[in-house]
Amino acid sequence: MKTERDSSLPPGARILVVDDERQIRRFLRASLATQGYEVLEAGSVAEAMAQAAAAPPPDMVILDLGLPDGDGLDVVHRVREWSAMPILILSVRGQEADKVSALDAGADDYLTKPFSTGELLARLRVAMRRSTRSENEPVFVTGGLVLDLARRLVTVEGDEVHLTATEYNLLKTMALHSGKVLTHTQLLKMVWGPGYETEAHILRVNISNLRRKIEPDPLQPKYIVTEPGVGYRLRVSDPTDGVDG
Amino acid sequence: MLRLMRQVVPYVLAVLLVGAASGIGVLVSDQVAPVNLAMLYLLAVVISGLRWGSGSAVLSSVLSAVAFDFFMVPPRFSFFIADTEHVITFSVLLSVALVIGTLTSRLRDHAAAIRRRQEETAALYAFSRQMVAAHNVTETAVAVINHIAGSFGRPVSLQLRGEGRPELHAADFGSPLSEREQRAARWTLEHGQPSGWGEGPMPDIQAECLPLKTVHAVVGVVVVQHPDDDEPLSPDERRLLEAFATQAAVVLEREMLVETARRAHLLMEADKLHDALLHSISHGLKTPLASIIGSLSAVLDPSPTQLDLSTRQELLETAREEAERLNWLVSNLLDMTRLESGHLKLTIDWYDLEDVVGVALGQTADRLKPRAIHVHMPEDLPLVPLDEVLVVQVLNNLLDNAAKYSPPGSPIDIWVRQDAEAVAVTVADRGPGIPDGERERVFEKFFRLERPGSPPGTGLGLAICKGIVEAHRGRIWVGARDGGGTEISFSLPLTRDLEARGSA
Repeated sequence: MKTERDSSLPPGARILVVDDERQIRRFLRASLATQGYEVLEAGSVAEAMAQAAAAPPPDMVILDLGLPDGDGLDVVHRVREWSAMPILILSVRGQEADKVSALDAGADDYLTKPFSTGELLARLRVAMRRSTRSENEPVFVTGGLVLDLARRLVTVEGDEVHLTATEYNLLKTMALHSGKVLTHTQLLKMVWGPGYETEAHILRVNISNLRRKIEPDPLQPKYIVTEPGVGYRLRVSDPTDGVDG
Repeated sequence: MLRLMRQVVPYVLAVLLVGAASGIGVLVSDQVAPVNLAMLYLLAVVISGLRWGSGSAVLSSVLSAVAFDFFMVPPRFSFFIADTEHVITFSVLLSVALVIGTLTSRLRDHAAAIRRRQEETAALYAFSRQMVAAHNVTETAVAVINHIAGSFGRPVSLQLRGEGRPELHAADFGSPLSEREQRAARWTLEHGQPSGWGEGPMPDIQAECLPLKTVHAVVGVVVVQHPDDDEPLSPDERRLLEAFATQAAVVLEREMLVETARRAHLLMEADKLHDALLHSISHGLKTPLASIIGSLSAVLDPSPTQLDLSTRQELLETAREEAERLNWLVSNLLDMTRLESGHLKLTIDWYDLEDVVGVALGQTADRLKPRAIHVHMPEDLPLVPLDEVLVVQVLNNLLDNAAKYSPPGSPIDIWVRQDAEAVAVTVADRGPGIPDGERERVFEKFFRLERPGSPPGTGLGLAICKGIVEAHRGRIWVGARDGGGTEISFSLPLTRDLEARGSA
């Protein structure tokens, strides 16, 4: 699934920035415009909904969760009623529960304020790549980890790794959403099925086992990254992605 | 109706008693002289006076004299007195009966008063004992209500004066009041006078409001309610209630003063904390701000001498690093505030401690470089119930401290150990260590070991760690390390009473 295409957004892509802080919008506009993106701005839920529904609609939304006239979560719910456009959440530390709600509601990723432009652009690239890639790529590669979906084969640095069926499903699920953070609930539902959403310990044990098999140093994982209080992310081998969120 | 009966019965009994004396007298009148028969009547008068009080004593005296005249004095069965001798007997009987009746009834009243006073004293003693057991205004108020309601078998309500506010009320205890009863209670509180049944501005309500008065103030009102067409308290009960009220007022006033003093003390503590916070903010936060403003203004300076590219880069780098430090300090302050205000909610779930340690190492990697970090962890560590974000925060603070207070390049060790009930994590450095006497104090807010050249900080890191660990029902402690250095350890219980630990 490693794309040979330019790893940035298509030139001229339209990004809607929703944040009630003018300074934040100014710095986002400056950094995004330098990268050749067109930036739309909104400072409230109402403005955001108007902009998101405009023609042509934006290609992507960067959304702050705390807005003066409502909750950013409402924007996620309402946009998801009719569009799959990538949504990147901005939040502050201590709002893990809100992040999780937004992700479970269909947001693609999150960034914790304060963040660097490097992190922001990396997240944008990942989200945009996911929304444009085809589902039929049979081989996933990140660093030394290769997952051959057609042959159900996993290798690390060329050596085959034997995974249990559950571990394989877990890795496959994360690979299919590579680069995106998956919440504990999402992973449990996708890998184990409905009804397992609260069985966090199954997830922990399998992640731990999987790391022992594929990570050179499970204490400093290269591939399966923990997002504290939120979930896990399979890191993609975009060189600028090596920053922690 | 009942009341009327109760009032009439003694007189009826007195009449019956005189009747009985007359009956006996008629039966024995043949053998006994009329003068001696007068003694029978005197007995009836004494009994009436002792048993039923002065009213029935007087009644039986008069009736006795008349009956004596009618039944005993010849000519019998007529009010006519033939013999002068018997006129004297009749007059003496009447006066002696009146005197004896009055005396005996007074004796009776006196005995009753003593008994009542004994009962009152006992009741007041019990009351004061109950109030001594109460430790604050609320407990005292509840004790007062329970005791008064129990003593009189009626619903009781207590209203206390609000702190420095003339209007009712800071607290309202006991049986709820109707709107009119509340108005009467408020009147009593304002005027310091009883109101309610037969008194004050609303004499028609079936409740008695008594002020809880001390020499200084009216601290509240006690309201005794009389539901279901009951009658008001008897004068004795009323006196007892007044005694209760006086005693309750004194105790309540004392408790209120104690609480006011306690609150003032807390405010003073808060003020001290406030000062420390301001001090900490000015020291801890102003330094990075100064660097940021300085660096950025140098870059933006429009003077003709242009900075070379590498200097610009360096200045911008400084500004960014200092901004990150500022972010760290502000986060700590926010966490402290959250811990203090009780707004910190734990999101507990089962986590892999290896993962948690890994996240903390990842987040502090920049600050720990280029040290060697050794992690010693058993292979078969169980999952631990914890709040991941917060425990990562604890580890971050411990690692940050270890890095700040030990020579650059010296290694940092992390141990994870487990027993039946808990896991313990230890972060150990090779710094100068913490003196014996200050091992407990390092967990106090704003406490910092003053050493020459110690790096800036808010003195909050370890206080936050302690707050978070204790919210998990764990423990945190400092030890000295063999061969020099500091060891800070915390333990987290392995029990899964997640619900009980839902919030901090």
